[in-house]
Amino acid sequence: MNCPGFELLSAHCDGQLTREEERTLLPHLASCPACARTLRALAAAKSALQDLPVPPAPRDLAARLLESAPRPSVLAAFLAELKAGLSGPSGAVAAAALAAALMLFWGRRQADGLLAVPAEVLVSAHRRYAQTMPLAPEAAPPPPALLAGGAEERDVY
Amino acid sequence: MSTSLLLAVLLAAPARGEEAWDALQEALAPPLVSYQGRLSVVEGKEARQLAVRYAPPGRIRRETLDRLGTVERLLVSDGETEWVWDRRSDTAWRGPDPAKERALSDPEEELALLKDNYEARLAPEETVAGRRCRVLEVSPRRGGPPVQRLWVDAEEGLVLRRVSYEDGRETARMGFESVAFDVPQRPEDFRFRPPAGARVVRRRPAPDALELEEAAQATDMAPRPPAWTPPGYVFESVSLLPYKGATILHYRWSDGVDALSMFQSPERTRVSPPRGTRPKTVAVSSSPAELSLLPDGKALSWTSEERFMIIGRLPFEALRRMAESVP
Repeated sequence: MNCPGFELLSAHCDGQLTREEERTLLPHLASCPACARTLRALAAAKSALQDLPVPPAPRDLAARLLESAPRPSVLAAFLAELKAGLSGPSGAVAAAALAAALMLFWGRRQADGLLAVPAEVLVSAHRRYAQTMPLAPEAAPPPPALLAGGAEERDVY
Repeated sequence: MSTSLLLAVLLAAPARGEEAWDALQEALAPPLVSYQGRLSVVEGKEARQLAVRYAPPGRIRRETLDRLGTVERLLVSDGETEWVWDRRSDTAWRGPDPAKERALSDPEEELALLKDNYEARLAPEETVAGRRCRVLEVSPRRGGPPVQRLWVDAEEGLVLRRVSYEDGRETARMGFESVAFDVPQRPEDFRFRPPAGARVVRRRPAPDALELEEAAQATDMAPRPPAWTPPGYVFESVSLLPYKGATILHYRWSDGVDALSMFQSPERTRVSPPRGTRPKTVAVSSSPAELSLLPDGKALSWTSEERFMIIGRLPFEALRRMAESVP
């Protein structure tokens, strides 16, 4: 692979790359002195920032924060009460009853025979049709979502 | 301005207009030489990098690259069979090349429809990826700003940059960052063998491009196409969209540039709003309906015994009028 940009090296330094990206990047770092140097500089900068002393908080910080904090909404207060009520054995029973009621409701809807069609199936079909327009742009390989649906059969090689 | 100069300008105008259509027609034709290059594609907030190779007739290889330059997704066609491979799921889809099945309209009819609804104008030449390009602007005849700008390679006729607009606002952009023509291509680059262990799915698309009567026989729904469609749109065909045992009718119209779709789903279906959208409740024939904004248009869905959805790049009022004309 070509040398990655500074942003990617920084993301790697902060542990923000996906596993796949790490798998691709690490062999390059092992063989590219320039990128390895940049990465060492990033790590040194990060370490230096972390070593800076933490300034002490002002004594009246807590009071100032409470004063400027918005009043909790009625909904937030209700949710806090609900959370408090659901903790403990009786709360667990209530939560289980609620879950059971939701499952019965959902089950009844399914039993009604309603087939849920994700709009993405229709939007995908529209977009595939739009690709046939004379001035349609160069099409990138479609993502799996656009290949789902339709008549398929599976072969495993 | 002298009379002779004015006359020259007036006589040149239609010639320039024809020149613009000639350039557009050249851009629509398949390339005669091979090419390869890197391009960027931006649609809404999504940006992608692609590496492309082409060899006539109809062999194509398109790689979507992730930010580390690794192939994330691959499309390969030898003109007969198309493969799409997704690295993340390690799944490969195989099916007939869609270009072979795409027989909705005669190319001359398509161009005639385009000319009926749009005008093409040549703008001053520009350079893209180091290549001299003729710049075409395509604008609706009914008035309004351009809907597309195309930068067409002056020698090879390939579109090197394309920008789409809606109401004067850029909605999508594709452009080559580097391109080379007539470079020998290896035949094996247009063949695909799934990696060991990959899951392979054989795609068999449902019958496409039906007449209305054929579609009626293929489902147990009575087709209900709208009585009114926006001016300039021509009905092209109906297609069947199977989904988990149900068959949805897909009606298709085109004005030469934009596609317009209407879907009719059986009564026992429920269509969820498009992911990532916040649908707005509107009224269709005094009944509640949902309007969702997509990156490439709008989706209007409602229920009238069966479930309907219209998708197109049109003002809401046009979609509503079309919906209200469904019998």
